Amino acid sequence: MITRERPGNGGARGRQVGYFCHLNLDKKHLGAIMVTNQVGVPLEFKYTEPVTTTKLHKVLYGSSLDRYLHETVIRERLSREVRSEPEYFLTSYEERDFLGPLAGKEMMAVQVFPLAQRESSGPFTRVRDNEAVVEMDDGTVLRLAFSTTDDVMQRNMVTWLQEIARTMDILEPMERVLSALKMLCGEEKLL
Amino acid sequence: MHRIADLAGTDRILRGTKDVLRRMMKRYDLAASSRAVRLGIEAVHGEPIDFSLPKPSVHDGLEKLIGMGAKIPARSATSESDVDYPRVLRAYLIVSSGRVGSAPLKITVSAYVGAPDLIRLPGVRAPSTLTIEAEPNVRTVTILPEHLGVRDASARTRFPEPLVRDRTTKIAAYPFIRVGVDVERVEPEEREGFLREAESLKGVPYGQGELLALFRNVPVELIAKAHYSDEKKVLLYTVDGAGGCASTRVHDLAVVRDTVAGKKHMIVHRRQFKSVRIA
Repeated sequence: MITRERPGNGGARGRQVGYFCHLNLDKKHLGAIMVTNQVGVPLEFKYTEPVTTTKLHKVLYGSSLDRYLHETVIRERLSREVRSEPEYFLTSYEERDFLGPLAGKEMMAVQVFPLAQRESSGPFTRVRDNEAVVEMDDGTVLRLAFSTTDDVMQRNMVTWLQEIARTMDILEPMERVLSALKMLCGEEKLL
Repeated sequence: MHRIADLAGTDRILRGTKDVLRRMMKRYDLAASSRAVRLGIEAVHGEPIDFSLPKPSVHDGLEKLIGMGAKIPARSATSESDVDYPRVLRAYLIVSSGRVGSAPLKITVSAYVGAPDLIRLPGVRAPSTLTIEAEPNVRTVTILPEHLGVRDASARTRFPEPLVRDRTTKIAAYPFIRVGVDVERVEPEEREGFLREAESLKGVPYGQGELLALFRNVPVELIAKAHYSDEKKVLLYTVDGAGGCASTRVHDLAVVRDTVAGKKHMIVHRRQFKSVRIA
């Protein structure tokens, strides 16, 4: 009987995958990074203590409050604490307006593309300067937003994503981090 | 000279800023500063401001600020081709907000060269100092609290730097929650393969097995505990970690039900796997 071993990661060194999550719940903002190996096992997990916004903050910071919290208060703070070396960071698509490098690594916001809109997609279909729709090897179609508008860099990121998707569910760790953050916000004693 | 009205989007930004400033003023009881705010907004809808004047004759408030040492560049400081001048508009805006912001504010205003419609206000950042950021130049207008004699509420307006905690070992014990592929779309060949594996490994007679779920790329060698939730159609598992392992295999894993006995079995396909380096 023939063994159907499919190509995995034959490289000399395992790849590391970075995840970034920002949670805004009941005026509390907190964020976390998790770096996993290529099968989703955590190598590093760090989170910020929740930052609470007040009415005064809303008045003073106005419409820029969200951006400031996402990019400066949470992401830049976590950037300084990352010790692993993921090649890129993945985040949820809801974070697409606040994308930027984290610990010097570019970031991608990822979302499974709705079934109804899949017909027009190809292997790499550009939507905007920093957005594309990509079809993975298993037929899943993803909508991606990039922290960079550099076309070459974006295609490298997609190639990397294709590769890690061959050995793990790329979206599952994001859910794990998010549910851990929700528990932290609820002050449960998971962590 | 650049007409303020030429800057698309600026009106809206300034109107929004005016509201913010008014609310701030109300909070800090800064009635004396209201004029400065009003002047800033008037400028948007009124006559264009020529910043080349050594002493702008637009409003007293602006003159007063310059008298306080604000660094508003004279037109002669840059070449005619320089497109910086619309940004000086924000200097005027800053003058307005500065009188309020000196209570405890630093407002940063960014602009993009040659793209005035992209002007935005990214943030009120910290107390006491007002900064105008314009690429590539940065100009700063500083108004000290003593100029206005207002109280410092900076401790209430700043965000403290959040503590960062490391919980790597704890999250390692957190379960993976995997969603399977759509079993209706599994190829008949693959379905048969799993049912044959169920027969061989668990003794479920072929024809008596039903494929309930299929999960791709499960690192079965690392799994400590696994559970399939029929209700949520998810596979939950925890891993022992990968300490010491340089590589592992990820297998396709199916859940097969014995339709006669009613028992469910997890079937790891012995021939559908990939080797992965994890260290």
